[in-house]
This record gives sequence, structure tokens and C-alpha cells, in this order.
Amino acid sequence: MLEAAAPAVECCGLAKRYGHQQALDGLDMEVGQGTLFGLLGPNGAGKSTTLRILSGLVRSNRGRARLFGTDVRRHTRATARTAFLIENAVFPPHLTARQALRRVARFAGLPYDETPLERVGMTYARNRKAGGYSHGMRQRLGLACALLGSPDLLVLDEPQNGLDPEGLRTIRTILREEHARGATVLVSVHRLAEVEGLCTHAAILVAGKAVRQGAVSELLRTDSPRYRIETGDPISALKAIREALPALTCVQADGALLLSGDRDAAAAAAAACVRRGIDIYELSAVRRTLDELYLSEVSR
Amino acid sequence: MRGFGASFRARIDDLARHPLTYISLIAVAGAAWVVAREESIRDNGYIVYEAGLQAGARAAAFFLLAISALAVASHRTRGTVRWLLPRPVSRAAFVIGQAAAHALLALLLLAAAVLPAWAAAAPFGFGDVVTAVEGDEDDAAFHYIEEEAIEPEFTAAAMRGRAVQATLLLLPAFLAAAGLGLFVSSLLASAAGAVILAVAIALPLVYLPEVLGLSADTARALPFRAAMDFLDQLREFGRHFNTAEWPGYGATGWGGALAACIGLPALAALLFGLLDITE
Repeated sequence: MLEAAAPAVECCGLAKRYGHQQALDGLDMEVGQGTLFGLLGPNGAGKSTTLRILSGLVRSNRGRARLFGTDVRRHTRATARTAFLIENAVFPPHLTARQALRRVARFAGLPYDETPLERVGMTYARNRKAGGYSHGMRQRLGLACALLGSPDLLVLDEPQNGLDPEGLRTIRTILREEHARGATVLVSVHRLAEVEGLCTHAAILVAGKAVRQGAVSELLRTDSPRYRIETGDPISALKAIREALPALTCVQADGALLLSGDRDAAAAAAAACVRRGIDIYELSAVRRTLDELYLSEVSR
Repeated sequence: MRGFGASFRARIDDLARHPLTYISLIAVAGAAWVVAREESIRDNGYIVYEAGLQAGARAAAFFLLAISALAVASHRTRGTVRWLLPRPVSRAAFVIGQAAAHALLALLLLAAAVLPAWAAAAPFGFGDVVTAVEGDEDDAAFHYIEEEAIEPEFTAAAMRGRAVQATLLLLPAFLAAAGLGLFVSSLLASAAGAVILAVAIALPLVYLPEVLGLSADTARALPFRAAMDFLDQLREFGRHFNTAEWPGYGATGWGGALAACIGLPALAALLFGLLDITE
């Protein structure tokens, strides 16, 4: 019996070593059901190893990994509600897209259904052999295979690799649709912009550990807010602010002023400029980007 | 054993599309036919049949070894294993399913060896075999004896029984060859490496057991060796040279064959289940 309330994915103290290389070093991570979870990290951080352990292709040396509360070592039970696309999709070259999909259906014990081929935009090539596919087409077919049977958990390892802009858009659309359907999606990505606009939750892996994880909105919240002041005379404005508020950190950047402080400090800085007769065009809060968060965590 | 049926069907499907399958069937049938037709002594069909079957069986065992060595390793080489195994499929079931598909191929290859050998031998008949033993054993083949004194030493029924037994023993020998190929295939990520290693293991076991320190009796526990020795005995009978009993190592041969053709895939399934698939 699968636990209904259990997280879709749970990793506790997960460790994996390949020879002398420590790929995972006590990874703790939890992916709640119904989330669209982005897994971030530099090359070698352990993203693919984590997903491989979840898929049963690789066994951890230490720790525990669970899918919907079932240990991944009980492979057939743990993966019953899950579909994976691990790294670049590869298919026997003599199989057409339909035959490949049919084969997956047989292995997974699912009824054959061509809808996934339509969703990934591969209907036109369904009778062509996979040996003649481009990398992007193979990725699309790999995603189609993963979508078969409407899994409750979709685990995708860099699905956007090798895709053209249209393919990227298709992937984003599908991930959103799956999330809207109620499925949990765990996706490892390199493009941070993708995560910020797409994922509800994220984890940043560095050297085999999750250094930050949670809801994307929470991760981007910061204790030191920043504001941007757009003015017609940034040099005079900077001088006015420094004279009026010497304790406030204010710098010039890209023709505007960036100041670190709370909302009251920003208002006081704007007032100081107005008092000197300097026009203020815009005063806005600067949101922390995932890029910044990621780079700060990775460079520690 | 979830995934057994899918694995079996997938391998059958792959084998049906792979040129090597057809090359092996043609090569085995061709070898059996050509060698049987060239057999110079054609007193009876057994000699012709045995010669064709020996040639076909050797080719079949080699192809089975190579094709089964490609089975799992080629999935790993190409990376397609990443596409199939994360599904709720037991790795053991995956390997056993592949083994079952190769058992079917073994049956086909046996038929490919037997049918041409039989077709080449049939015109010479499968009747009684006379051993004209008189005087010194060395000269036995050259002794003339009176026609009325000739009695069948081996009746047609007995000879056919021996021929059938020698033929049937090839099947577990083939299964063992496929099992060895699959065993190696499950351990290696390189398809080419798996074929080379499987052949490198099989050849000395079959042809050079003495080099490995195995006695003739022990070597007959190796399925293919036992089957070949059975065929050798059949030839000796057919050529009137044999005064000995039919080999008494039938139980050893069958025991070794069954142990190998069941044990090797089982071991392959067990070990494959423990491996990290990292390529």
C-alpha cells in the first residue's frame, strides 16, 4: 500500500561514491506531492546521480530514497506511479516512435496510447525509425514515453537538452500541464530562468548536498531588500542621498541607483533627491533573482 | 517477475529485425548441408547426418554465444537500458526474459542444423548398422564375412534412438552457450567486449579442457563437449569401427547441460540486479 500523504520524493542522508569521486554526500531532499520541483546545481553536483538512484539504475552507498513512501530498492513497487527520462533519450535505432512507445507500454504494463506523441509534437515522425532522429526528436520521444500512462510523478533529467526554442516551449507547456493535472514533476535543469518562471519549488545541489531548498518564492525572499531609483541625474542624486542618509548603502548601476535598505529608507532617499530638485522617474523594489541566489550558493 | 513477458517479446522483436539472426540461420544450415554432402563414406545415413550436425552445431553454438553476448550489453552500450529499466520492471525478469528469447533462437538454430543434415543423410538410409568384427580389431573394417553371417550389431531402432539422443543433447548445450553469452553480457557495458570475452571463455572450455586441467570425464560435464562426444560416438558406430557400448556419460552430459542452461541465466539475473547502470 502506497502512503497517500508521503512526499513524492524523499532522500535522507543519501550518499554515493564512484571510485574516488563522492557524487552524493548526505543529500537530504523532499519533494512534496503536486509540486513542480527544479533541481539545480553545477556540473558534478550530483543531480543526475540523485535521479539515477531514484530510477533504480544506481544504488546508493548510504542513506535512503523513497518514492511515495516506498524505498526505491523495492523497485517495481516504488516506480509503479513514476516515469523517468534519464539524461539523453536513446532508442533502438530500428524502432519507430510508435514501436518505441508500444514497447514502453508493454514494459510498464500500460495500455498503448498515442496521445503523448501528439503532445510532444512527434505525430509526423511516428512511423520513422529512431535511428534517423535528431537529438531533439529523441528528447521529444523520450518525453512522450515518460508521459505514457499519466504518471503521478515525472522525473526528468535535463529534458531541454538539445531542443530548439519551439521544443523548449513545448516542454514548458507540458510540464505546466502535468503540474496542473496534479502530477508531481521533478526536473533537473541548467537554465535558471526556466526554474524561476516554471517551478514552484527548487533545490540547489552543491558537492552532493542540497544547500538550499523550498518554495521558489521563499528562496527569493531576502533579509536585505534592495530598491532601484531611476532618475534623470544619477550623479547628483547619489550625492544628495549620501549627504542626507550617510549610513545607507547606495551605488550607481546601469544609469540608475541601487540602494540597500528597507522601504522607509528608500522613501527617505527619494525625498532627499526631490528636495534637491532632482526628478525621480521610478522607485521600485529589486527582486532577488534565482541567478543571484544560485551563484551565491555555488560560489561559497 | 514483472517485465518478463515484455522483455521476452522485446528481444524476440529485436532478434526478428537483426540481420545477424538470419545470417546465423543461413550459416548454420549451410555449414550442415555442405559438410554433410562432402562426407566421403556414405555406407549409411548416420555418418552423413553426424558430419552435418557437427558442423552446424559448432556454427550454431558460436552464433548463439555471440548473439546472446550482445543482448544486455548492447542495451547498455547504446544507453537504451536507461529507457526501459526505470519502469516498474524487475532486472531479473528483464534478463530471464532475454534468456527465454534466446532459448527460442537455440531451438531454431538446432532445427537449422538438423534439417539440412537429415536431408543430406536421408538418401543413404537410416537402417541397421553392421559391425564386421572378426580377427584383429585393427583390421576389422577390412574383413569380409559371409553374407549369411552378417547380423545387425545395431538395429535401426537402436541407432535412431542414439541419433535422437545425440541431437537432443545439443539443445541444452546450445542453451548453455546462450546462457554463457548472457551471463557475460549482463556484466559488461561493452557489446564488443562481451562477445570477445564470451568466446574467449567458451573456446578453451570446449576445445582445450586438458589445458585447463580437466579430465575427459570432467570435461563432459561441459554441455557442448558432452554433446560433441555423443556425436563422435554416433559416427564411430556408423562407420562400423565401434565395439564399445553407447557412452555411459549421458547423465553427466544432461546434468551439466541442464545446470548450465538454468544456472547461468539465473546467475546473470542475480548479478545484473546488483549492478549500477552508469553509462
